[in-house]
Amino acid sequence: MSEFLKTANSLPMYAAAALLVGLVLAQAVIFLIKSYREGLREGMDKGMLKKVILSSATFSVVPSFAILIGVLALAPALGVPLPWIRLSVVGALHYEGPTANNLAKGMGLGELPSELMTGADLGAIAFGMTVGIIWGALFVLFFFKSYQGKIKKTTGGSPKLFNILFCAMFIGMVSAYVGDAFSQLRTLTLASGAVRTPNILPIIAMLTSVLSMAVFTWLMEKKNVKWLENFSFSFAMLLGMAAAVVGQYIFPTMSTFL
Amino acid sequence: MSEQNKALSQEAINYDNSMHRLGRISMVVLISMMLAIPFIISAVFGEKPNLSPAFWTAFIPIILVNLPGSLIEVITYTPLLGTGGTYLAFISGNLSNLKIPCAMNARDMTKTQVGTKESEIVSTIAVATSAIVTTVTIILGVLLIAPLTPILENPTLIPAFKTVVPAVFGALGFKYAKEYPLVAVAPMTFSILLFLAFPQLTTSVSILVFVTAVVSIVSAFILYKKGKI
Repeated sequence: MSEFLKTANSLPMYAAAALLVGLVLAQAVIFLIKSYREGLREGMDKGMLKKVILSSATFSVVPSFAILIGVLALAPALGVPLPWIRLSVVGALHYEGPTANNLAKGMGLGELPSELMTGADLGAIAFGMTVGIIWGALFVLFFFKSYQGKIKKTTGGSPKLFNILFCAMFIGMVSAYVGDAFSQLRTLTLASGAVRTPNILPIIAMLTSVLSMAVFTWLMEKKNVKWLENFSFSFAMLLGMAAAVVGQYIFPTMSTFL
Repeated sequence: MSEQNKALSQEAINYDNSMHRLGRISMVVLISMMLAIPFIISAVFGEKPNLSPAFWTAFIPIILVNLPGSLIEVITYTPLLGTGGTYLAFISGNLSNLKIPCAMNARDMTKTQVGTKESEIVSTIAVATSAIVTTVTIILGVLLIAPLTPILENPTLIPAFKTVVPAVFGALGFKYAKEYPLVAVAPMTFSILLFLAFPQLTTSVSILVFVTAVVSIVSAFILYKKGKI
């Protein structure tokens, strides 16, 4: 291991990461206990609250592995602690890798991992990754409460309309990601010069997951398969991902990810 | 409004305010610590960060994309997450690929009415659980990094981990589009055609989320006014 990586993976770096990650964990635990107790005090069904916990936990495991892969991918370049921090606090999987790479290239370090990287470069890259993504959290800190008040006022008149617009907003969000899966069917030259060839796997994953959810819904609603309720979402996601794995053998020329 | 309802809604407001307070305090602490990391790195290496002109040239475009992108995320995502869920999700990160699907799944599973205290509680519990599971998974992953790396980086599994987002939105999209199928027609058609015509939009999906959300909301509003939904 190079001298640079030894320092990037040294005990003080791990200690800083552990402290920060520990605080994120503590925050989540406090919110969980507080809201769970409040739910019970409100007279909400204990079984339902437990179902929310079980279903959310089951669903979160697999996407968490995808995030862990993001940490592993950056570790040879930046050491483990920095990507660990960046993907546990305000991070986003689709942001951290490309940002670190763009900064390194711009600074003349070439592709990551780079032999030229120094502690000074790592400090700058950490600064860039952090300040680049902090805005959402800052906006929430300063403007969320007043924005929320405005929304409540606007839609306060009709709970039905509020529910429709809420669902419409989410359907709009889903539409963007559905569209993005379709964009993968086209060849594209990225800003970095790399060429992305057509890839059908995102659509295969998505359609399989839609079909699985349709079957699960039928089983739950018509056949009364109650136990599926907690796992239908996770299973549909896993079947979609599994279909993408199978799909790479059926469409070998349309299965390359950049 | 009856006296009892007034007391109930006052209680909901008090709870909401306490979530805002707790959220803001924890956010200030965590943002400050997060900003300290580059300086801690400098101290550990004994070298000042290399904030050269080349760094700024690479960094400024990143800010120019992320600043409006973040504003749009706050506008679009916070109504979906509720008060507690918003603070937690924006601190623990990974919103679109994890926290929002989790909150939306919980809301659909429990059929709680949006905007009520019940819905707020369910959403916070979902996001908190998700944040705990992810944080713990990554801690375990870091501890077991040597044996895990060859499994997770196995080429056969690459398509699985690269398709988490479409698989998640396929399943959730079905659930919500089933509730209001007519609402889904306009934004889905618009988005698919737009992305096929301009595949380069793939690099700014977070901004496109806002555009498709507006299309969806406007079409839903028209359908509602016409009495179709």
